[in-house]
Amino acid sequence: MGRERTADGRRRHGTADPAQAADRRQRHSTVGPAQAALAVLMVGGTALAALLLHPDNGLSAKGRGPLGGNAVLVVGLALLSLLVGLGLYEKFRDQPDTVRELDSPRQRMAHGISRVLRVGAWVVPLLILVLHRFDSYGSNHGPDDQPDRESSSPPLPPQDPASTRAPAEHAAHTLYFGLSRILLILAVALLVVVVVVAALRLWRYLTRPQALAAPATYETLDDEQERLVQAVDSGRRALLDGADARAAVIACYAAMEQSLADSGLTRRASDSPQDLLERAVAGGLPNGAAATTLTTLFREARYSTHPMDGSHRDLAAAALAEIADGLRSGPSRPEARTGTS
Amino acid sequence: MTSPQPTPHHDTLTPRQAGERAAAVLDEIRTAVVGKAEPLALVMLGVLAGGHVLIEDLPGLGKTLLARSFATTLGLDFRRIQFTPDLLPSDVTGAPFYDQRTADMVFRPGPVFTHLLLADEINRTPPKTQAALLEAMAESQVTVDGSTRPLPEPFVVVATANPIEYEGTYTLPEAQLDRFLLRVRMGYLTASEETGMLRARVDRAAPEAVLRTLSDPGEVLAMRAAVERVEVDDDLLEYVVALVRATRAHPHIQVGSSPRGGLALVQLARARAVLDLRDYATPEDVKSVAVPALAHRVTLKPELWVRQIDGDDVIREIVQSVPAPQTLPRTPVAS
Repeated sequence: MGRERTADGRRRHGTADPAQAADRRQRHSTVGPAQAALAVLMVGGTALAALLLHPDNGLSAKGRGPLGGNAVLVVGLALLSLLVGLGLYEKFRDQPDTVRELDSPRQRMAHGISRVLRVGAWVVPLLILVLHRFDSYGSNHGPDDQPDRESSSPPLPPQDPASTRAPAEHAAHTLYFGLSRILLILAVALLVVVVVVAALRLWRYLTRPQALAAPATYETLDDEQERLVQAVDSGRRALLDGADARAAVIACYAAMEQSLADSGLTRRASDSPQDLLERAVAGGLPNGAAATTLTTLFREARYSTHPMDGSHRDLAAAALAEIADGLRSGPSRPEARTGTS
Repeated sequence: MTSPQPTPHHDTLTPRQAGERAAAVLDEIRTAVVGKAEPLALVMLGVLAGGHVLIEDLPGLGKTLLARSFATTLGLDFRRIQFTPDLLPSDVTGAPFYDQRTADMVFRPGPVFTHLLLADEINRTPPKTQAALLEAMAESQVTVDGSTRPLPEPFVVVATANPIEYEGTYTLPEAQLDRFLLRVRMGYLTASEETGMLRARVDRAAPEAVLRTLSDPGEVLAMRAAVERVEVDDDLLEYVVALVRATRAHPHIQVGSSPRGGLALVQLARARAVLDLRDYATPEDVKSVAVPALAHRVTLKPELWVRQIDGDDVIREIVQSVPAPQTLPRTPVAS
């Protein structure tokens, strides 16, 4: 019903608190680009290395790696790959709650990864066995053995190029390899660009200002504690010196807000006074009741036009004094550190 | 369900007095409707703000009970229309009929001539009949055969709709959706609330609770007048405009909120202030009613239906991104 087609009514009622969902989204949006950049860097780098190291005689050619001389070792590696692949798949499958918390595109990506892991667990060891060149000399021969080289190289025609190779065939052959080389160079260049961009993004993420990534907490801020107390004191002075009760209450709240910002709890642009208060209390602000009183007084001073008198000023003064005392005696240990960014 | 009660005298109510009366009404309704604090408050906001309420949720969550409880406790004349596919517009508004004794055409008022109209399952009737409510909802009057007849004051439409059934249902016209001041979703009860609901049913040994009538139409009008006395700061109005305009610029939204959405937001925020016994609205009031006031007024892009993102999600995101009024006012304040 409604223009946005609320066919997902059941799903919506089963979801968690919207604030938690928003926090999750924010966390994902913060970490997401870095993870994506890292993934692109790894995949792109691997692909680049594979392209640069590809064999001249085709990608499907059988061969051996540096450790491939021992057939038992190769079979063991295949088995190990199978076990690791199955283990990864099982581990991924055992985290349905984590996947369910993601939004739709990431869920689809997670399901895709799950399928790739399931198939890859079997395909990779199979390819290791199929593409390995097992020879008749057994497992004792090393990769440098001459007979292996001879048996793997294609049989050469009798050496009389002048009489057996037609000029047209030679030209087509040259064109084919030239085109392949150009495409290969383009692919390598494209991969280099992708890897460089991903590396830059990752570097930018890793070198971000620490204040954004790890917000300060109350007990780690000895010098900021002093600034916080000073800010509250300035608010009290505004409260006592100001002739106008409304302006004094607002100034006092602004001082408290500044003190919170100094301690690492900055007001977001979309925060209402209540939002800020809730985050401050969740972050371990001492004397939450006094802060609540001051916030209530501020809202009245800021958004009403009815007269405010000395009683409001006295209430604000008492609340601020309580907050200042609480800050001087030391902050309470925050039970939850959410929302202190 | 009803029991006659003496109606209190009411002259001009202050916002605080109106808020206290509204709180008493809500307390009474909570004896019948268990564990729906926020939906109940939202419906009350709709009544106080002078609008119409669309209650949208799954069957069996107490939508009809909620509407009937409000009518009873507020002392309002109550009619119910069960919307069906064969319902005609004249079944809603009324129609003239021929009186053989006087040899004249006489207008027989339809169920819309009441204080509180419960339009049950409004999406089960075709748009033509739904549209018959348009004039009544927007202007509190009905025009039939060229003559306009005013509806009783106050006039409140509480419509219910089932969002999951598509067979035999008709999507509400956009113009009509826009005329609902807010959309309320009930949601499931928690386990403890559901147990409490069952316990209450067993204890009272009757299908429905008997509610006292605590108010009357005149007092409801006085409470609405009190809402009009709630102050709204200029910064707050700009905040409301910013929220509404953000719905028009959001990448997930095809058609944003109309200016009527801004009006609804302001009135609901003022009503929220009254419920909190204040005579001034705050950013918290606006934020708390943004989703119910705006989510049904926006048209999302079609692809979002596949991604299971709905209007509530988008409006919630907008509320978390649009800057709220700053701490310090732009103009100096004085007591």
